[in-house]
Amino acid sequence: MVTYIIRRLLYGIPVIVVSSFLIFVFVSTTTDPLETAKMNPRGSKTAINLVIKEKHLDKPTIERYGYWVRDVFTNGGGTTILTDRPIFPDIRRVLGNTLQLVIAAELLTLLLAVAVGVYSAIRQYSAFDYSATTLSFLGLAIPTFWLGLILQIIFINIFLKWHVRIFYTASLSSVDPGHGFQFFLDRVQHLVLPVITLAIVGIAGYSRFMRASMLEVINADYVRTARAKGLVERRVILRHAFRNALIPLMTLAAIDFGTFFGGAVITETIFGLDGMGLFFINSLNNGETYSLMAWLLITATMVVVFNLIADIVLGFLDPRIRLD
Amino acid sequence: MHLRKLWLVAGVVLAAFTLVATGSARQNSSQANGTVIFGADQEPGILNTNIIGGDLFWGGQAVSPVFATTFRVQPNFSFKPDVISKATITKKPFSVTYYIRKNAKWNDGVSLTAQDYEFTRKTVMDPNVKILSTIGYEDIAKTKIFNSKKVKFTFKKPFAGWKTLFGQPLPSHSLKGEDFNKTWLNNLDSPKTNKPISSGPFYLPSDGFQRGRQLTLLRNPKYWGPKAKLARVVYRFLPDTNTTAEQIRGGEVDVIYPQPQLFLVPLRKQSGLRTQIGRGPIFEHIDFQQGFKDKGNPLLRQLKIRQAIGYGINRPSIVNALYTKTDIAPGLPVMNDLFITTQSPYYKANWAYLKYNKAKSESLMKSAGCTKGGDGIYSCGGKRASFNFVWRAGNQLRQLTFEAMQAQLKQVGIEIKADSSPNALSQRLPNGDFDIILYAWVGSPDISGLDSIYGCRNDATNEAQQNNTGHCNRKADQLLKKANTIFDTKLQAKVTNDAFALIAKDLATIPLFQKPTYLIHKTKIKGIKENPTSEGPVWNLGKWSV
Amino acid sequence: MTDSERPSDHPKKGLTDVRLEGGIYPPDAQPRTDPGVPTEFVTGMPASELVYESGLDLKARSQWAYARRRFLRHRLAMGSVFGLILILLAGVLANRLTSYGPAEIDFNNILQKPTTKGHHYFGADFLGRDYLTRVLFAIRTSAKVAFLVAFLSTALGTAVGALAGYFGGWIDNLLMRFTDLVLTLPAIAVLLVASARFGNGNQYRVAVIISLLLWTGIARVVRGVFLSLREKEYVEAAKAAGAGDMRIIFRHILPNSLGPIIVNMTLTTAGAILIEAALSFLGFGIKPPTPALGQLIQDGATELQTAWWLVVFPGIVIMAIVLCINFIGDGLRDALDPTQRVRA
Repeated sequence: MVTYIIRRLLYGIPVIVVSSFLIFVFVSTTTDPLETAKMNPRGSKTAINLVIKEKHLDKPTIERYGYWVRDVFTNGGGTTILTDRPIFPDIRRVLGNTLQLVIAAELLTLLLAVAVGVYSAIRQYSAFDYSATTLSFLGLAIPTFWLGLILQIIFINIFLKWHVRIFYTASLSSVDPGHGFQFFLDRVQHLVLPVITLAIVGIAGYSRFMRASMLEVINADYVRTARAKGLVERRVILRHAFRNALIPLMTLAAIDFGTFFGGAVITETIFGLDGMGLFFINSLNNGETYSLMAWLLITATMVVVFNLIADIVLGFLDPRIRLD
Repeated sequence: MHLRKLWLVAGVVLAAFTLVATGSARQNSSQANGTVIFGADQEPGILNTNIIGGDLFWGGQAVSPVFATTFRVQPNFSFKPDVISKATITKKPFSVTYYIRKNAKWNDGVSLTAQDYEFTRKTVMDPNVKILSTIGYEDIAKTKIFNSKKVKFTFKKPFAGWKTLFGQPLPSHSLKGEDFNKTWLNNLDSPKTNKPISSGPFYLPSDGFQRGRQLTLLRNPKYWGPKAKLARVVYRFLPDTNTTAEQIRGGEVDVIYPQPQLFLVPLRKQSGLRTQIGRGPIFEHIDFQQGFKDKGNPLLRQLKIRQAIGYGINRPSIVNALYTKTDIAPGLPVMNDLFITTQSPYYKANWAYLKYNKAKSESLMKSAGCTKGGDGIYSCGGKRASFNFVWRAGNQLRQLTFEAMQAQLKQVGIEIKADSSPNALSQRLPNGDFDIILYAWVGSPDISGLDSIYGCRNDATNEAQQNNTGHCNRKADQLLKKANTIFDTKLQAKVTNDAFALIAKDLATIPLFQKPTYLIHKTKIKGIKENPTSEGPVWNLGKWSV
Repeated sequence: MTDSERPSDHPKKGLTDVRLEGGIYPPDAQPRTDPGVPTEFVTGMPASELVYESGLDLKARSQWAYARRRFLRHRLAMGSVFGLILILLAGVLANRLTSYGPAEIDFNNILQKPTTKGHHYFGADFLGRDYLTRVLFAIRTSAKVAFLVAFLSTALGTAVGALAGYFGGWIDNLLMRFTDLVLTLPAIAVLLVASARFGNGNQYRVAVIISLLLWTGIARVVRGVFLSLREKEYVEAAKAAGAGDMRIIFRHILPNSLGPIIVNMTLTTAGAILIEAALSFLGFGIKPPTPALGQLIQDGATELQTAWWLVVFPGIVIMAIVLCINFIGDGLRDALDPTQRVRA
């Protein structure tokens, strides 16, 4: 097992190298961090040239990639192109914020999606199943943006009507968040709406997968054998069917969890949450290749790690699968 | 079974939560203690607004109340002395003498002096500092310091935009010997003492800039002028405009300054809020590619074709549709001048002659030798009157403008094709890769230096580097260069307008409208007033009160 | 109708040869003793007899005929097929259904609420264009992209997942590391580059690019199922009986992963319509003034409180399309997998 994990992690290295190189080339050749400066009719050419020289922007892409790799190992990922600030503190901050959001959302999603999916499957074509199906696709057909906005409007209307602030509609904390438990409560009040927004989209998709794979196993032989052995229905569903039905969903969830480290661009933008997604989109819009690469390094690593975890979980759920 | 339990748990948790939350619901915007919360749609990268990367709008808005400036631009476009009592100029040779206020000082008690002015000039001209713009400073030949409060700068050549100089006199006593490129990235502290430095009505506490969340300014108790009435101003970073609108509706922020959009209109009617709509300094316009780097459809090099397009676009109806009919900014006028905005006393309607006229447009096409094809689109010498129309992708306002123009031009037999691109401004524009391009410039009360956009481009002499259309009118070029040396604002505007009249006749560009500004604030805040120049809403932050 | 024709009572499709050759019954083909079966299906019929009867039938008709028959009996699925055809027809016949053009601007009608006056049943947009017309024409554009993306990405993902899961070893390792690579590439950045590079991409190119980014999830899922199923007894049995790899993949294992695959296809359809909106945001989608569903939603999304109809109507259409596809998918799976309960 240990050798398997080590080998898999080693395989991850070329993946990350190729991925980072591709994105480096893509981004550094299509965006220009100096766009605004160059557009300024009164802008100083001296300053622009200083930045170009300092950040090697005039060098071939491959050479610039080399500089970046050097910075990763010696300089914590380097500094931003335009403002020459260290990237590491920023990425550490936004990663922390995104983790709070994503872990909460993913747990909520899995919990509800599994419940809804299983119940839909064992009561296939019931009223519950139909409404769950319809709601799922409602959740998928409306953009996240709209969903977030609706939640904001609801809770602001509640505030305007009853002067009760249940949840805040933006940012991570209040202006004066307080300390200790008060700070924690304030943070929760800020996080609930974005978590719900993220979760609804996730539940919609996951519950469909859960329902489908549950339907697959519910009638499989071993379930029937279990039934024939006289086990009670509930035990059959939970012990035998459920475990196997989880395989596709767990695979998907693990992968998604890996990519979630990249943040949720839209949700973070709507709710003004200073997370990885917002960091990514700002870096991309401003042509900050190095910041984007720091982001990529984290997400790519996480994708590799969580795909490994997915395989380990797969082996755990179905002992017949050989990991080799 | 299983599920029911789950719902029960969820319900209990939610109920408990609501109770606790209700109990702790604090009055959010604590106006009682003199705090105003600003909803800012962008976070500054660095706080040094003088160097590259520090020129974001909200960075300027957060930093400008911390520093005294030489002239503050007023809502009526006049320049009002701030840290100086007066400034005098001589013409031959051109020189400016600043008389710094006797009581002007930094918050650490050190007087703000002529040395600070000279230090600022030196910093700006330091070849190793990434200063955004050295225009004007590079012409200064000589500095003469009479005493600590009087300094004279003599220029190599006249510089009409002299009032824009020394927008942020720097504290020489705390910055001397420091690397300015590394100063004021995360705070506005003196690098020598690590304490906040300020010469304006507010100061930024050392830990006041919490990245990703907010920036807090506090009243400067040592301010040399009339003390600020507010104790604290907080800028909250909210990247989404919809959210800022909801935030002010729900009272989580007190002031917002968003891009004007339809969903903001209902806020105008909400009690407790006030909306000031202004005509901002940003103006939209279209440019025609006339052969820069030999790019673009050659048909556009013919004046008659450009005129046909000009007469085929109904600008008043488009502006009316976008702003009056939607009630976003009722009555917003068409702009018929460049850079000199409609409220300016020097505004002249140079493009007013271009009145929508379908018949005229078609007759112009015919007189250019074009014939209508089977699809209703003209062809001129075998070339279809079909043009790529470029704008920066993702800008909905420009997309709507394009779609309206497209429908109107189709009626006169001219086709424009959507060609929006994410790098419309970073690559397409500078390379001249467009037939027609739609974008905006930011106007300024100082109208010198416009020859860099509308003059005749010459890469050898570094002239008119922002002219990407290949247009060149020698006479207009000369007039614009002359305007750079005229100090009488009125005369300078006249000469500039003369040049614009020529450009209007050439139809190198067509101005469309100024983007309206929305300043929405709680009615409780007094003294807040929209400033339609690039100063933005914080220009008189010291006078706000709650 | 005789009971032997009941859709739910037939052995799994494609397994007839196995039982004939090897004499081993695939476990899934055993009669159900499922207590949840609606009573009308098994009225007065002992389970063993059902097997016997269906076994006889199999010799007479091909499995596909049964599947088709079962599908046609699936009321909801058939209703959805009808509904989907109706929606698509509305798109195809858009120019006949309304008297307005999709780009016909009317400044006197800006942001008109839905009204019967002038037949603006869906209201009008920012430029006074009839919104019903825009939505109808948008169906045309979006359906093409969405179906293409759903099909391409699912096919690609399934192929990669199936190969990796079935063969395992270095093939699995290679394919999965490639999947990892694609997963690590941020879609927005890739699309931005595509947009900047091939600015005026046509719809098909757009569809291919989206597909190349969307196949990874389903590939992992299908691989997971294959890893698990290839160890099953009936696969071993099929191998022992001399069935080739392709035959085992397509006939024995793939049908068992149809559930997730179909779900993926329906979800991708919805996703593709919305992704296309993001693309037009990057200037790489469908060029204005041609409307597309996702783009309509995107443009109207901010105006939830001021002009709700801008989002609601295209949203309903997307939902209807996706729901139809989903129910068709359900019907398909039920039809292909006889162990499923079907309410005909």
